[in-house]
Amino acid sequence: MDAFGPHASAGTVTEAGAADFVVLAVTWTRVREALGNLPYRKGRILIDATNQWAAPPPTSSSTNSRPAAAN
Amino acid sequence: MGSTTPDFVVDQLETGGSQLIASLIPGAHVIKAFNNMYAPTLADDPVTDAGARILFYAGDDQDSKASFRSVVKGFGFAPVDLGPLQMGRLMQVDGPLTGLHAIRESVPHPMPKTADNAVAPADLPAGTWTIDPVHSSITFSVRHLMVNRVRGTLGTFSGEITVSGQGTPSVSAEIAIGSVNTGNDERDAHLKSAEFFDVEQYPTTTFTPTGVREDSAGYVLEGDFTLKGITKPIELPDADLSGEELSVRIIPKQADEFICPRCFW
Repeated sequence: MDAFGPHASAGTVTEAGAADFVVLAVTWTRVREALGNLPYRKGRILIDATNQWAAPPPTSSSTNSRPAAAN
Repeated sequence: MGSTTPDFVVDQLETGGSQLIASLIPGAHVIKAFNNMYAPTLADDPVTDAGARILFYAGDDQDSKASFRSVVKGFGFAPVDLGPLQMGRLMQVDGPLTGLHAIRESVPHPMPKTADNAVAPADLPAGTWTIDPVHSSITFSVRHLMVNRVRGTLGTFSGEITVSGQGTPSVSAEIAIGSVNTGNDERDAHLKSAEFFDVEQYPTTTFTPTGVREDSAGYVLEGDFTLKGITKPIELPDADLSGEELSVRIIPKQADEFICPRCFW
């Protein structure tokens, strides 16, 4: 976790579900699963950072040529 | 959801993926953001020598968007609201904003900023600005003949903004309603008639300021706009107070604000 800086910490989906902001940054094929595990909370702000790739785009050469926030 | 193109893009691009996501998570306010940026750029410091990195976002809930805006501004981004969640499709894969990494250029502001980034009228330096008619425009929207919404411009206006030693702005702006232009002479004549703007009885309108605030694009003058004896609040965004001439675009807070029966019927 150190690579993410001093303010980052690892946690479970349930813990993330208690936050004011939730950033959804999973591959498109995992969206349904990720949201299904999030406990219900009214008024939660969900930041959708996904891209609608049916499969992860090819890696290596594409690092700088694909919107990669969701990967 | 099968892939439809060699680019692995799935097929909900018409509706917008965020709306699909919103439907999967009831009770949440969904904001589309970040996905159009390439990861290395996203990881970079949003504050650059040239200015703040632009961050597009779209969403339907205004309060949530205000919170989001404030948080990402704190990160150093220059947030740009694309409007309702549906507009998030502009950021989708192969959309026009994909990979668009833009910078909001920073220009030195002539006025001091307060802690919360708001500018009280008292902070305005004393001086007089003339409204620059070349770089300013006044647009309006009316429902003509009960059928279609007509957009038009008012070409002739003049005015100046004076800030006294007390820092209170006073604006005298006169707009010649007779200069109405909707691109159709017959319709313009109808708009000038008593049925609409009633140019004969009310040849001009006035603007009276109520305050000044700052947003990401610059200074916004707030004031009351009087048309045919009816006063409505409007905002003049993008006011540049750095030079002798004041450059503004005059746009009603909402196009519908001037659609009032007492104004036109």
